[in-house]
Amino acid sequence: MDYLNSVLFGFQVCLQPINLVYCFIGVLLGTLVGVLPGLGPLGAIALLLPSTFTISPVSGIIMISGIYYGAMYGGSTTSILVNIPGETASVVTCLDGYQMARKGRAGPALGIAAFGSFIGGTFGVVGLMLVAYPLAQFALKFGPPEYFSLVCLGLIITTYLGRGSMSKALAMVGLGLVLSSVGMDVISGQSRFTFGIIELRDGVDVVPLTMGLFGISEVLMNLEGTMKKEIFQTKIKNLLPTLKDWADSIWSILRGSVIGFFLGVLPGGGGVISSFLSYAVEKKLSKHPEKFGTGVIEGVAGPETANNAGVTGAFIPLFGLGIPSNPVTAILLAALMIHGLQPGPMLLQQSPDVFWGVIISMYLGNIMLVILNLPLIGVWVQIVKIPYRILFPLIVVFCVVGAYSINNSLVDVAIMVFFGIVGYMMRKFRYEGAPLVLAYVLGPMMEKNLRQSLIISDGSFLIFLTRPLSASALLICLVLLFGSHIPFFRRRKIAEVLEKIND
Amino acid sequence: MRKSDQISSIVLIIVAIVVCFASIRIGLGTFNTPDLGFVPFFAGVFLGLTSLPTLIKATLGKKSEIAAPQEHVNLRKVIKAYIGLILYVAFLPLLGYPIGTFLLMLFFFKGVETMKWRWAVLTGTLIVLGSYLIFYVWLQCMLPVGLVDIRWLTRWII
Repeated sequence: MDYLNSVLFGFQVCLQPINLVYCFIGVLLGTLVGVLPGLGPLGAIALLLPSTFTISPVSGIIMISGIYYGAMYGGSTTSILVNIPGETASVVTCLDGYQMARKGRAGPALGIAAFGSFIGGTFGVVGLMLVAYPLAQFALKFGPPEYFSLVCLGLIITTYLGRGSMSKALAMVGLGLVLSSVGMDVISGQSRFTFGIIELRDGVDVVPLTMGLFGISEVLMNLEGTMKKEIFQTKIKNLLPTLKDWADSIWSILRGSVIGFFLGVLPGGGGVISSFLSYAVEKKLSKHPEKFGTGVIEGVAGPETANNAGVTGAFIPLFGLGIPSNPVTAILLAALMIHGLQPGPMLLQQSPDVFWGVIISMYLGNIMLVILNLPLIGVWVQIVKIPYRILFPLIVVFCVVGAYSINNSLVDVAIMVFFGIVGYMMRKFRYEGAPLVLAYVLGPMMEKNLRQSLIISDGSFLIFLTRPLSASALLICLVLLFGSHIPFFRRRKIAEVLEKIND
Repeated sequence: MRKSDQISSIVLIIVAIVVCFASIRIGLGTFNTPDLGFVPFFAGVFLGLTSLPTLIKATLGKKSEIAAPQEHVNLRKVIKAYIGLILYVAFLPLLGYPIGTFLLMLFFFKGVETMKWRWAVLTGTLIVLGSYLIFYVWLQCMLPVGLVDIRWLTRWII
């Protein structure tokens, strides 16, 4: 009964006109940034974060969340029509979506992507509602050792699920932890590694860091080559999939929902890996795997469903434990903290309106997205036609404004530009940015809990092994790190599948 | 990738060593009373240790027999754009957002890309005006003012 009351309370919060308006703005902007290659949800959220300072935290977080899951819808449009993924999570949609468009079936491809996203997103929200609440209740019993071990587990899983070399991903975790130690010490309040720069006393802000690593570096990478956009001059018709299309794709959608949701919960999971794995599973289970890549509807339905379910699943560790699972939820964590909210189990205790309001807003947001996307596809196609030579200066302007307006500091702009080249070099040398950002965001939490645990145990590391949850988390870390000889944990298998799809 | 892996891992190992020494300088404390440098020291050690496998693999590993096909990389464009950004950051306190960003846009359109002057000026003006109206006027974000305050112009336009 208590649970039902909470859900009804969530509806009461998000059905307020102002919250509905912000939800609509969020999903609309999300779709827009999803359509535009180069400006992802991360940049858009960072950019619009300062504008939420003047509105209520519930409205602000509803809008920011809307941008995140809305971007997954938009990403598919460019994948299908232009063969350029607007979002990394839509890369795999290019394979069959673009081929469907070439065969004159752009309409059903876009339609099934929208419906699949809706079903996946809604499935994810139901899961989020069912899991986040008990997890948050359970997490109230956690102490510093549990939190330290869970952070370690989160970081290790991020590196395990990464697509590149694991040692490189681990090195990025190390670099992220080093960067997170710049600024004020979480326990003593003393400054360290600030080099006398006053602005660094609060540490390097996560917004300029991520905008540099992902936004500016993406612009520099795209400037290297030439981005060719070939949009079909055919009329997009029959957006509503036929009964045969539904029959072909319904199981892919259902499987995509489950795969996406569970992978979304894992750190490093989210929408990207969910869509890749969903495609691999569909191909494996298909009666005609050889047709994949030639324009089969299952190749669009599964991944598009999975990436939306994955995005919603990524909210579970954030709301339940206060642990972000990818760079976008890391920015969301920062947004919650800027609004004076305490992410994790205390969010449910202290701000139930935010907790339930945001979760329930995702139902409505998903409905808005389906209604919005199908009739607006023509508009998105026009936006896709914007040439990159006009788009990239716009992205730079957005990044500059986003980085500056968080603290009104030019040092933040300089930090963003610095991390822009760092991110570019990382891409060239094949280092992933996600483990760095996650380690950076989780670093202070890790440090505080490690030091508190050691103080409690009088310097004994056994405290991490004598508590069951902490010991289990650390054991899983060890298995993932050193269990490469056990076939089930052989990371190469996953990497191989992803590489094959990439090729 | 051999050479680039060697370079990148050596850079990371140097960073790790510097962090470790800096952490020792600010004080590690003990296990039961960890000090300021405790976690950064172990983060540095972790960074160094995890960079080592890449270095070893790149140095001792086999050379790949087939060289990967080289894609055409327009590095000049990247360098130009990045220098433009550095200059923009350096002069932003002086020029302020509207003038500084307009000059950056001109540089991008003319220096990095090859757009005609009139289109470059027009597009640059539209981007600056549009972003200024959206972020400064509508969303009330703060933007760098610079030595020449032209906010009166915005008020006058509105």
